[in-house]
Amino acid sequence: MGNKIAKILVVGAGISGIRAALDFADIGYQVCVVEKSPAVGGILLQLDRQFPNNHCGMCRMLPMIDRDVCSQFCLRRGLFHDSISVHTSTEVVSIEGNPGQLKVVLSRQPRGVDSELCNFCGKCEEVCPVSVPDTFNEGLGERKAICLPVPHQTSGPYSIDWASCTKCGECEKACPTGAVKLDNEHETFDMEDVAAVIIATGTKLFNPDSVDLYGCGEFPNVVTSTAFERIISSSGPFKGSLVRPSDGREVKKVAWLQCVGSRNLMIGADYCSSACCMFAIKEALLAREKMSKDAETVIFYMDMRTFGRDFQRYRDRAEKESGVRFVRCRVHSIEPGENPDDLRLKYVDSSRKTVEEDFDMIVLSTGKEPGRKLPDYASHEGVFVADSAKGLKDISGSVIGAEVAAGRASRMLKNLGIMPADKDKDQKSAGQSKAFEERPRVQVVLCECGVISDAGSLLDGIESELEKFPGRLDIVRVKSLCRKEGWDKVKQIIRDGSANRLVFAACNKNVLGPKIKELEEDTEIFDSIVESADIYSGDERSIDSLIKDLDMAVSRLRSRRALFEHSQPVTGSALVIGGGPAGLSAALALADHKIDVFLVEKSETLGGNLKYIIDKELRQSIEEILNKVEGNPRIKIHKEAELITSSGISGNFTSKIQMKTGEQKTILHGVTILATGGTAAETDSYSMDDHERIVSLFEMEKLVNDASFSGQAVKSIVMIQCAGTREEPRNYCSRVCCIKSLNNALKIKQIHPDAEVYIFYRDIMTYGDSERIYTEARKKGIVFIPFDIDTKPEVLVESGGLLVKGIDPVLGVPVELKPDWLSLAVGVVPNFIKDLVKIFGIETTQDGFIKEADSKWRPVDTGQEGIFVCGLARAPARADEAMKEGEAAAQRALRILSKNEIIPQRLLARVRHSICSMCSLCIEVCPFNARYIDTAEGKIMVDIASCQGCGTCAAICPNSATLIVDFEDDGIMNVIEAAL
Amino acid sequence: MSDEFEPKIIALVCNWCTYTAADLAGTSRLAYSANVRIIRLMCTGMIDPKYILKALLDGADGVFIGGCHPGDCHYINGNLKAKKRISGISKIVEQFGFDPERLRLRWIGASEGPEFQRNMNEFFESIKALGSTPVRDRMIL
Ligand code: FES
Repeated sequence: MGNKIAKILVVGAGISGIRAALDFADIGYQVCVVEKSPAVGGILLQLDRQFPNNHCGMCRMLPMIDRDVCSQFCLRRGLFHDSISVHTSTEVVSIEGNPGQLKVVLSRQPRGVDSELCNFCGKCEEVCPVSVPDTFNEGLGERKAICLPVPHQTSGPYSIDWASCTKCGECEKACPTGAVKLDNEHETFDMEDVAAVIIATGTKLFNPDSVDLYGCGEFPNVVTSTAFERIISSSGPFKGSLVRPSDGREVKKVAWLQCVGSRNLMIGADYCSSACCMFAIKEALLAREKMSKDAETVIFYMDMRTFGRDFQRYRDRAEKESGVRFVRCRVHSIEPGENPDDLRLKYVDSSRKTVEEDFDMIVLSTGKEPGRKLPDYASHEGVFVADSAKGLKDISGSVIGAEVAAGRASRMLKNLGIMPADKDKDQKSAGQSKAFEERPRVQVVLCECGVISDAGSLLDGIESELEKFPGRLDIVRVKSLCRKEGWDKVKQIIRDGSANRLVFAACNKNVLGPKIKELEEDTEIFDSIVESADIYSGDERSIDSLIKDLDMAVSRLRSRRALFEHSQPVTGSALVIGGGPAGLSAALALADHKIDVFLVEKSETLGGNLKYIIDKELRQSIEEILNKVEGNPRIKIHKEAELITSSGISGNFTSKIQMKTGEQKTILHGVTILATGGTAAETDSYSMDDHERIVSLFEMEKLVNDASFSGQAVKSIVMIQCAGTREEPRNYCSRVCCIKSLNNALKIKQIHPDAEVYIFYRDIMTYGDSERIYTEARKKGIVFIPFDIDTKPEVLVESGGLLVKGIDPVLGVPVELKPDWLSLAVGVVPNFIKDLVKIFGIETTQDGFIKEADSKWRPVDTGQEGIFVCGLARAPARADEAMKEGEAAAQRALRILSKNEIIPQRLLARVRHSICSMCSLCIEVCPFNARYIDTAEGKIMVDIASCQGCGTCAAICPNSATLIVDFEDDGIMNVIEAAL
Repeated sequence: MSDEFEPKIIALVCNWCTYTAADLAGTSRLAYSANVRIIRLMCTGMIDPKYILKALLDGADGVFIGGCHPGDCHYINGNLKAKKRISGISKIVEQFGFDPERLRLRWIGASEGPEFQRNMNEFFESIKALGSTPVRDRMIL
């Protein structure tokens, strides 16, 4: 491929697509993202806050090390990265060729508005005569046929919804810049030499209108969960007040109906959409924030699938602290109430009574749309599919899935000998531009517009005020900055003149944004030394107020200084602790990227819980990786070894391990991956220790898969789920138990068809496609008996036999069972790693799992840059999930390992050692643990890989010894002065 | 009505959430006083008490601080640190002879453009009710 930078195509710009694109960009690839819709961000654009903490934090996906190449603002506004180009309203038509050299045919729908010319004035929208239901707000409220498809996304211009446009031409006439073009011919274009393709098209949500279900579409107050999200959003149709669509009345009582379109065999949806339960709880909690104290929120469900690490406690809080009511039932019907805007729900409650209850509003928890298939090209060689394109995933699941897909693609490319560009050589460091070292000379460019009629006299006024500014300002007027002629003139002025700072006085800054990037290529001007002030948009503003804006811009620019930080070298090897499925897959993923790996395992064998895994396919896949790890010369395996010390900063750690023999070894590595695993939990609930025929589900699994089982006389077996789990102190779902118990039950039925199998359960957690196992189990006649935390079954050992007492769900009468075996779903616990936690200074949850930096957006990072976590060490996971997390952790680690050195970024904290009193307040307060004491030098240092430039340290430093380069005190003070 | 009191307001907003909301208010043409000057900082956790004092002593009638909702801060918890710091500074502000009402901290999320507008208008009105800053009478600036 010569010197060309290998190009990656990512299809879909939701969470997964963005994550995959950033992953590739982070390791030096050029990426092109195509997105079918006119905006970047996927479904998250419509959701302001997400579970399991009701916060956002999407911006935390942005690069944390190479920040200068990526815009530093909220991701909802779009994705801007020097190595990523985004094409919206574009779809893939076909893919052909070989991996490394794929040819992709794309088709683009014109937006109808030229992005170079649109200045967001909104005149087109004003005159457009076509009003249609607002798709961004899920049909609530109206919008015009020409609009900003996502109001906060001004990275693209206005665009025309061709489906509703009548081509009347009003907008074309009204547009002052001539940006509107009423031509909607699709254009097809080819993209050659694409190295790999990632499919991250996400999942379409089920539309309940399509089937006659619960009256969605018929009753205006029955809405989907996404529509509800828009109702409570501040930027939604009701500005965030929780009111009914039909009559705008305050909502006092609202219900959620779970599994609408999921777990429904009638419409071919034999799956669980995995995210809707948590989604509903979150919505109920957000609703409660907006509702009066006496308001009611009720969730109607079959199983509340809270199978993530922190989900059960989230649910419990919702129930106990926030008063969300949970009702287990299938709702029979929705009818209008007495007041036709009210809704009457009919359902059978737990005491088997039919209940009618009225609600103001009903939310349908819609999941994945059934029957959607991936396009044919998804199976083409060199094309990788992210998990979220296969089924609905929560945020962390999408992030991990995208990282896995990106990792697999980059492994393939490495194998083919295709490399990204040498990053260190290529990176122009904007932070260290020469311009900062020179005395500031500011060039002010006033746009003469060409559209606004009285621009001339306004500019005269501004110019005469600017002349009074202290210090030298070069002022020039240019006609129509938004057009090529205008822009060429700007370039000319910069090239000819001696200015090293640039201020634009023009219109909306979004118009200039992309153009300013161009300047970087042609001149010495980086975007960090360009400021702009909007003098044309908005209502009439006084000259005085415009001048203040310009004064503030000039003050900001004058205070920008050079950065005096040095790069940090990177040791290109990794330490992986733990040789179970997660650790093995992380080690192999890195070794496949030609990285040296030290794999440290405490026990005498690799494989971790592999020894307990019976499922043939799963065993094979782990064994395959195990063999590859053992045969890989880049992986140095240390069995029966333990880590005893580790120190250093990201990119540069020094650790010591100790073997069983007492021998010690020092390892130098750039990153650490913690895959310390977990194990079956122990419990004393249900008389576990009192009888040899009471076993854990893991032992049960062994038993039913043993050849001798068919010879046993088995009449009846009871299983009890959630034994000692999902209640304090072990209040989390272990994820593996339900599926395992169901598989065990099916196996029993297969071997002993006449045996009776009873499963006592609280909520069956067969998320995703594993729902099929549940369906099959019911078909096979396995009896399911639900219980609550306060109606647990009772287990007695009587005259040598077992007796299980419970309540029959159908008849409501007590049942007594005398099983041959009792299997308890005991769940899993993380391995004990107190010493490691101390060595690495990382945090754990109350259950002893390692805490990630952000449970949604950075699921495999720890709070300490350069240290990653995966598998059971982080959260309960199935082995296949743990292996994926291992790959994801490896991919995150590659951001560091693929560099020779870490280059200082513009936004960084700096210590003026001469006035630093070493009080260490900054060390305590730094949210990224980026500060440390260099004992040899006797100085407080900043780890430039970890520091994000947030400035908390600068604000707390009593001597102002710490400063943030672009936000130094004097600069901010000057801006304040200019503003007043 | 040219001599009606128009408060001068400095809004120190974080780059991630509140600045986005301010921008959204702008593109959605949600109007608020032109006398509000927005100063973008990376995070509210970066706000040094002296910026607030500087603004008030230089003649601002009110200082508004806008950051991400708790838990949303791009830098994890800068906003919570800011909250602590600002409750301390409001006492100092008082000692300088300013009504602590002239300082207001609010959380405004990225998609809350209307919320930003509402906050600006409310703050503007409450400062208007408080009247012009005492600095103007006491000091010769
Ligand atoms: S980034 Fe918004 S408050 Fe910290």
